[in-house]
Amino acid sequence: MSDAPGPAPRAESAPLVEVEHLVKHFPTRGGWGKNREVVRAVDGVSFTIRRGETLGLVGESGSGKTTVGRTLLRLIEPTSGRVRFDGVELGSLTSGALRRLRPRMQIIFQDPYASLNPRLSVGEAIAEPLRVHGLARGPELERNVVSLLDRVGLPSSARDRYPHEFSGGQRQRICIARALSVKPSFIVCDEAVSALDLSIQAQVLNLLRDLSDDLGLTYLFITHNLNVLRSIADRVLVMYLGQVVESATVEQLFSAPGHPYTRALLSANPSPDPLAAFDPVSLEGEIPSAVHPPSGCRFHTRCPEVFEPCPTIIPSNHLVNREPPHRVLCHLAEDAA
Amino acid sequence: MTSSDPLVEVSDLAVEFHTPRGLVRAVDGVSFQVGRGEILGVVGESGSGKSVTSLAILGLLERPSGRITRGSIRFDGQVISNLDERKLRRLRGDRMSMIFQDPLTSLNPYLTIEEQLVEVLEFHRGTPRAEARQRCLELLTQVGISEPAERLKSHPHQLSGGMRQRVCIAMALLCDPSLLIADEPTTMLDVTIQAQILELVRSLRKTREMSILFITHDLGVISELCDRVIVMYAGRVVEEAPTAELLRNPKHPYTEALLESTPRLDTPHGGVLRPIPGLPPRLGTAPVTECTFAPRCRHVRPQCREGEPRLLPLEGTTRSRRCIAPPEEIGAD
Repeated sequence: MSDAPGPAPRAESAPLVEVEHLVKHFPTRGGWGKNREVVRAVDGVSFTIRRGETLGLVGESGSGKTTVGRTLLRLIEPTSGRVRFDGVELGSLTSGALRRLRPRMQIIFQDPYASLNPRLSVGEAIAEPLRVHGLARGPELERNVVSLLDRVGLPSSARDRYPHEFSGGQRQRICIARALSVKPSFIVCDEAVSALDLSIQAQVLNLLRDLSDDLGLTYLFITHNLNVLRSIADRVLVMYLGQVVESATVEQLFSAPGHPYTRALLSANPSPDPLAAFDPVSLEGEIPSAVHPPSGCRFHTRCPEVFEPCPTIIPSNHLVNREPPHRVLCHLAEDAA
Repeated sequence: MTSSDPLVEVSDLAVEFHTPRGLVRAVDGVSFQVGRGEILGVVGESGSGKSVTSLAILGLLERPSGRITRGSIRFDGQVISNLDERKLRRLRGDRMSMIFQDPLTSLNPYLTIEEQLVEVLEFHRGTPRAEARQRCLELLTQVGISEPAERLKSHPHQLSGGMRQRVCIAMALLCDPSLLIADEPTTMLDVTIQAQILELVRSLRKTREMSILFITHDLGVISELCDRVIVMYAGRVVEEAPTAELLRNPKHPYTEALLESTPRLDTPHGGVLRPIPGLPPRLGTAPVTECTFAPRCRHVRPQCREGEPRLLPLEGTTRSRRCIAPPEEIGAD
């Protein structure tokens, strides 16, 4: 290793994204006679994403999954914690250096209607990031736009049309083309297929998978849909009230879920197979407020398996399987021998 | 009326809308029945006409742009598709009611839950306020809301999404309707809350013998809840069958393709989904000269282009479909 400044050359096996104890607290608006409080949206989340891997992030509304995606990309500033992208600590970067790194990390949102400027033609929308980052101009820019459209399965004639002329699935393809334009290595997909009709959802999922195979893309795939997760993710993190309660490969998670919350989520997911038994573990009530999360284990107020230590003692992460690692944040979990 | 007559009978319904793009026939020749105490599922993608059909039943088509141009709707033996607004208003919220996908936009943000719920009973039944309030408390408890007296004082924004949907359900049930139309009521909810709401709907059917028209695009929800299903595509019913038969052994190529494009937990990881190529047709009012699914169908044959097939019973079964391909070519057998 040299002593030269700048990031050291990274081994291919090193993770692309490393997140350590990420915390994001949002202050609430204090009103008359109300104290300002904090919403603990993300409260100490750590994980890594390997190159070419699709990491799924699943949880209910209010679990903090979207905030993780956005703080990770520094679209919002974390309260504390560290994010390293390809070995570079994002928090240490100047705003100029961060901007130069931006093309490598992109995001696709749920609503392709709201993500496209209605006044820009599709060609202009896709060319914009290339222009902003000074990556292409003139005829090269034009060629890039056409090949991007082709890459996401749209005809080159789409270039001169406007977003409103396209269906939801086609618009999501446009958003994907725009994200790809700057040749990212990492894309956060935030409920990217959730608003699409079933037959279209499958088209877009297959497209995302082809792109990751062909271009070696790494995804953080945020969704509340377990079926979608099963079909696209390699590994999964399950979030509850700002914390990761389970992390496992997709096979481990679906065949041997370790956390009572994961088991409840899986059991509540109805299967289209008429022969499959549907017997949801009923959870009491709804996800508690992230302003005053429950003491001890945060899930204890709704957990069907709650016992003595849960309300008072904070559980630690147990490695229930060593290789591949499977971690569960629960008093009932036991470390593998 | 005898109890074996269907509660709802939709016959050859067509609905048209004036849009900036011209006249659109959103529903074209839709016929189906909802039996007493039955849960009928309606599956279809955006633009298939499933919501428009339910709005037509309730007389809630936006006027003057939308109107019924053909066919009829009977409710409990009475034709309701030609009733005037005043009579419809007496019916809605009383004998039939509806819950929508977004409970926040279904509730008035300025009124407390109590004001909105009590209003329903005052309007339809002239129930005195104190008595109405008591009835609201009962219903809120029934739909699983804890501390109902506290909740009555709340405004909608103070409740969570799942709680608001329960309030909407309670409101829909206040007058003990015989028909409940539920349009994607759990789509915006988390799965654990969805499971609670599905359980609630199931128990309501059991205890009140209510008929339910349940609209969803989620085949898992259909599987868990419905007795029978109709599948809609491009404003038409393309298949109708008992739920288990439809999901295990679809007999219309669209249903088959929809099932294959659904990611599910029992699909092996990395298994490629089989999407339906192309897009649904744009609806206009031009006469239909071919099967509307033909351009996307993998069982397509020359005859499909020669005229639109009719919805016909499948011999020896209690199901029907709008397709001319041999039944053994499609589905499991």
